[in-house]
Amino acid sequence: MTESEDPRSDRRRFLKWAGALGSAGVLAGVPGVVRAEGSYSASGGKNAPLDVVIIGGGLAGLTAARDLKRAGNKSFVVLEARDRVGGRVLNHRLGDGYFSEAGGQWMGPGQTAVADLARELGVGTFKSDYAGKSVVAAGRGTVALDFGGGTGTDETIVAELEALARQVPSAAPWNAPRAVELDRMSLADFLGGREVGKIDAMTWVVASQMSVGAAPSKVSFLYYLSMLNYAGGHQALEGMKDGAQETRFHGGSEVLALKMAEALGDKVRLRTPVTRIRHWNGGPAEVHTPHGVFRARRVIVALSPPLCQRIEFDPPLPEARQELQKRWPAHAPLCKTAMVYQTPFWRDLGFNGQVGSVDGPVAWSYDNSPPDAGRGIINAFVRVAEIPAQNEQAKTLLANLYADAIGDERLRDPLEFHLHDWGDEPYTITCISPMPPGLLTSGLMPALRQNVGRLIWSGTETAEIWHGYMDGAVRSGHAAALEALQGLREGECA
Amino acid sequence: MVGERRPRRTVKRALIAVLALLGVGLVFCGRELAGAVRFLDGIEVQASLAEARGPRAFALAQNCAPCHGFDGNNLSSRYPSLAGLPASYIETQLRAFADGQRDEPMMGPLAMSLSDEEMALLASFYAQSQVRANPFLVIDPTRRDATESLTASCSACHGSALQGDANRMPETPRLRGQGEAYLARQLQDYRSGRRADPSGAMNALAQSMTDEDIARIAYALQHR
Repeated sequence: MTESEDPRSDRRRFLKWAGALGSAGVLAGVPGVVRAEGSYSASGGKNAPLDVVIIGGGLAGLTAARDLKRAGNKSFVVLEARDRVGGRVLNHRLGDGYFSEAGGQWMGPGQTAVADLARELGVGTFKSDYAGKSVVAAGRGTVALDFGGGTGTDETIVAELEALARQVPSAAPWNAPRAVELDRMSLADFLGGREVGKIDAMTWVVASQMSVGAAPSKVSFLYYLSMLNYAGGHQALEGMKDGAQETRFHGGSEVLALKMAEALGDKVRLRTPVTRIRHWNGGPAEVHTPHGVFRARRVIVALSPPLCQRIEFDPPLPEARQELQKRWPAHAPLCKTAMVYQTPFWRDLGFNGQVGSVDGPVAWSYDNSPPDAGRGIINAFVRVAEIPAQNEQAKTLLANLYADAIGDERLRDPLEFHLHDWGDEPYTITCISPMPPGLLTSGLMPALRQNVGRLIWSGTETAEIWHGYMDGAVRSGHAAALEALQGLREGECA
Repeated sequence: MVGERRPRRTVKRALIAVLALLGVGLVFCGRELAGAVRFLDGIEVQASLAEARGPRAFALAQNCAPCHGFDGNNLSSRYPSLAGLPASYIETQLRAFADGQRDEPMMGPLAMSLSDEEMALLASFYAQSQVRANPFLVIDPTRRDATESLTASCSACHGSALQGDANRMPETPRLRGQGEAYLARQLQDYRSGRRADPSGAMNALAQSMTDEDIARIAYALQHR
């Protein structure tokens, strides 16, 4: 592996200049004295506005910035509130340079936007390892089954779901036939009207919490159908084999963000949270941060709607947009852990590291070892309330749980344990959006993508397909950059 | 949640039959078979719980479980334990989240998605949940005296053992068993005014607290 292919070198290089920029940001942050945008003026003098300010250094914002740069634009900046780029994409950093993803991590068939991006950035991919038996647990009991990378869901129900999903356009589910009726229902209402066994019903709860972010009782049935629609089927959405959990990125998905940020250099400003946007309706817009005010002809807001809700808009946004932001679901109830062993020895025993539980701390674990199997890693989606606050206690609890489920004492002694609770991040708030019944057909949804004044809405939630996924984020970034460039051109003509 | 109502024994027999059909001898799969039987017991326990607690409330509570615990007992310290809180208090808080009086970015949209009936169902569900001690809480015995003196004044409203009193003060939560991180955040919010106590008492009390006071009191409360 050359240095440019080594994800660790990407991070080192990025952190080096990001650290320098952080210091500069503090110096520039004297209130009312220094206007930070001055140094970014491309033309027209020091006080001329930038062409574009991009808010959010996740995959959407960085993709938009990359496109602007590739289009020859130099008058833009990316403002990121955190001290890192990547947004909901992040690696646990393990010893000896190994990694395990703490956020969004997979790519599947049909996710062509993120696949293209990876190819362009020179980031390779490899398959998730799911061969072997999974363990499902309830109470003190376990059953080991080989799902073959599938979901084990009743085929009759899957066929019915897929037939219904074909009628629900993912870009605008509210336009589907019977949209109101389907949106009034929850996924639980649909399942409740079918022959669903007790075990299947409980499996649906766990699967729904991981794929949609909420239990079936609070997931709009119409929304779930729209997800099946863009995925092209149940297996493609929920499965590992031929599904959205099939493929990983060398170095972890965070490498995509790090590589884009590195190429953008000083266009990315870390630790620069946006608190207020003024004059968005006329312009140039004023983007306020603790480190100064950035004036811009266009503002790409590459944030989830709940994060937009934390920004003050002056004048206030249109009522429908405000209401949508207020009601948009935001929570990240499952933290993500990585348990690290010397090797993935469970594979030799015929297990795949997957443990799913209906009533324990682990909603679902899976083998997340590197492609060379130089470490054995079991990642898991963990219910925060069911593990103790102390990391050491949480490690012991989970390691013992794996040992009991898989039946190998070596699992009790991991080399390392990492935990990331996304609920701790005020600049993240949400994971995938669990849309509750009624919101999609509330009449508010068109405000999601309806650009207003100088504002261009971006972020994975705005994508027409694979919304909520990394692929959706990349798509939304491309779309926002095009909108911005088009808007600037129209502005020139006017 | 709707499940078929086959008798438990039939399910077990069916499982055993499937294992036999797969050619797995009982001698060689004793551990697996025992695990499978216990697994089915676990499923039955969940199904019985749903029936006993009310299927709708149980299904709704599954959305709260990852942060607040399956029955409202939270082992981590970040989010509140809801078990045993007065139903009236829970409903009031859900309404405050929904109408924005309590500014909490995650709870706000969640509460807005609940109907009045669903709020009442959840409030009743958690009010009836039994409070369980957190087995992972390690109490430093050397700090016990300090914890009692620091929290003595809280007892006036929150009960002598800080357990709350749903009948006498239905809008006052129990503090016993709540996590340190959660309690500290609430005191900070009362101090800053981000959270408003309708009586004004908590805001007034928190005004006089320093960051250090808040940290000490939160620690003390968690360890009572």
